[in-house]
Amino acid sequence: MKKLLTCLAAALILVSSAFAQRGLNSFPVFKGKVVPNEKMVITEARGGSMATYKLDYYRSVSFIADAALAAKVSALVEADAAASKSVETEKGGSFLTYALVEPKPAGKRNRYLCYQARPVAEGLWKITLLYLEGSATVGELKSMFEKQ
Amino acid sequence: MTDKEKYTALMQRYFEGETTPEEERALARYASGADDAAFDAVRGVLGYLSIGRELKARRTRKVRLYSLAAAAAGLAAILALGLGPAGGGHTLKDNQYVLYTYGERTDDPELIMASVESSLADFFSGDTPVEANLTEMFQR
Repeated sequence: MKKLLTCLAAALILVSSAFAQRGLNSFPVFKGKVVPNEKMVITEARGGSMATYKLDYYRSVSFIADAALAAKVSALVEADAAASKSVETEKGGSFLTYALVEPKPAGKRNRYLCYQARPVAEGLWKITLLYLEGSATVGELKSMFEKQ
Repeated sequence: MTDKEKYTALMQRYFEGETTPEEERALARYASGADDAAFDAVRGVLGYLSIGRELKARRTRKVRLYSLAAAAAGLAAILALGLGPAGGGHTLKDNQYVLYTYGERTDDPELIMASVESSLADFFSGDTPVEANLTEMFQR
């Protein structure tokens, strides 16, 4: 019975941690559920050189979006921003052009969701979304990349 | 008719297989409390049956718990495999880099780290998107 309960507890812990990782509204975009993976540039890096930036994990997706798709993605980011620890946003009219969202940390690791929309042609936007995990603070990341 | 007579008749019907479950429960209640050797046989049979029912219930509970644990473990495995930290389908091991350009995979760490650095600089250099767009325009 003890083994069974241990097994059950372990399974529940795994399930809850998986859900904790999942907990972002913009998760489907990274997963290729909003824009197919074949239509995105996806970059993923873990460990190794990422330590230079005090980051453990990096994932980015970028794609070209029309106004409707851009609005859909920005709405997801705004939903994450609403539930986050801190947020910096910039808008062009009512349109979200930049967001630096800091969701609640996953354990001791800080998490960041970065969003950028840049116009590339009439009615088309290049959307870039980054998800970062690591010990780096926003201040540290900004000072690392601050223009001299 | 006394209780003893009533339950003796019920016991006979029980051994003939003519009692309802409700009557059997009533008989069991009476037999368990009656200090009468006439009911020893029925006590023995009902006791044996109730032990059997308890064992069956325990086995069922055990199977249910194992099924629940198996279902939870399966769900955990699916979630752990299907969702990386960023919620992406490609879960990397330590020191791994991957770049998919419209479905085409590249594993060149230098190229990937250059792309990572450029993206991070884009977000953390302090330029607002408007400033960045102007910079890009004047660089062209």
